[in-house]
Amino acid sequence: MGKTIGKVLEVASIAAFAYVTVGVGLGVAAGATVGASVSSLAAGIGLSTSALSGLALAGFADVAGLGGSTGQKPESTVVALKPRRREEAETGEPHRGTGRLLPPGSAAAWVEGDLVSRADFGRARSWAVDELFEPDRRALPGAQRA
Amino acid sequence: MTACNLIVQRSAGAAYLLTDTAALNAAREVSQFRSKVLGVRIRGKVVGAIAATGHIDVAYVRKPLRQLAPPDFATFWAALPDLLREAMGAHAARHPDRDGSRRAAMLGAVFDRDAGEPRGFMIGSDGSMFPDASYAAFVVHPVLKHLTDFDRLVGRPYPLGTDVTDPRQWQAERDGVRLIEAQRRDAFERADGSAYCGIGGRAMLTRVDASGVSHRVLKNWRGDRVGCELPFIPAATASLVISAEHVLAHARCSASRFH
Repeated sequence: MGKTIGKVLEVASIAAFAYVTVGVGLGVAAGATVGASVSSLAAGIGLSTSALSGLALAGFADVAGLGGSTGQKPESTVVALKPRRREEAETGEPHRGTGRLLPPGSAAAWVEGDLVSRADFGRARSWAVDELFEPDRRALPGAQRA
Repeated sequence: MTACNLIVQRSAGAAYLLTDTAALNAAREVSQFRSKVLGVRIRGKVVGAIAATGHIDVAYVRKPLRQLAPPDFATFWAALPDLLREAMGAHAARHPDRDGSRRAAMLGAVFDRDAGEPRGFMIGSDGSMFPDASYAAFVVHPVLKHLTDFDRLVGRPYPLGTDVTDPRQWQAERDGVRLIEAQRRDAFERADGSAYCGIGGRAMLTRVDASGVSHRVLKNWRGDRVGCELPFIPAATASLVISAEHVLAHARCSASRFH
């Protein structure tokens, strides 16, 4: 009887070890594959969202408002650390309703749900927009400015 | 969904459209591969190109634009809002199953021979492609740069602070693949929260300059298949389980296509 239990425990421990090893291995491999993805690694080794929020301490934060026009959230609220592009067709959200920001010199400790100053928010938002979009202030050929 | 990038490099005398070629159905499987770029003719000469994104197919713009045969830029700009509306209407009629907000936008570039420089423009059915509400819907806006979003934290396609409109810092032919690969890795999300890849087929670089319009395939994602979801490993949020499921599902789908 004792032998059987011992065998079962041995098999179970090997299975558990393999499970953890493969899980972590896959996590590391996938993270490396996609360019050392911090969050994939985190997911692979089972870090929680709250642990990910620690990334904000390194200056990473996401804010609502990039893309504008939702008007559903106060501009000064950090709504998510990991916003994804939702299909505007299905959710009605703007194409670029949120953005991941690395605001230089600001928002060093933003985490989900935080309120930040409008000045900081504006700086971060401006920085994020600038990376993706740049208007041309001159009129198009043959057209008056709209 | 679409990779739809517009980059105007005035000092290089060229503007670029960087797009993919995958069209997805309601199930987010590839329905076909086709160019999303259309040439713009003024007085019969190709002087620019348009790309479309959202609930629209640029093919629906081709016929009315040919019929319009704009004699000058002013006519072309004036016609663009109606061209966008018509194309969206045709797309909605063709795909009544695609519910939702039916947003769409077109962006493109033309070469202004009088000024000797390329110019970029965008027009949208709403402001969602623009940074704020000051950009009115169905109005043509001059633009120097519009990039489809990508993950800003990991696997950046170029160093932080790079000005892609400066040819000394970023060259489309050399660096375009890294940009669109980063955009391909940045998953789209269904309403239920599940992730999917929305960019695939081929990475097409369209160059607009004084000599006209030229195309170049920068990347061919050979594993992409019609009838299958585009394969991807989520770069940021999805779990490894989802990654594995996507990879396996794609492998199964690809295998079935060979039989």
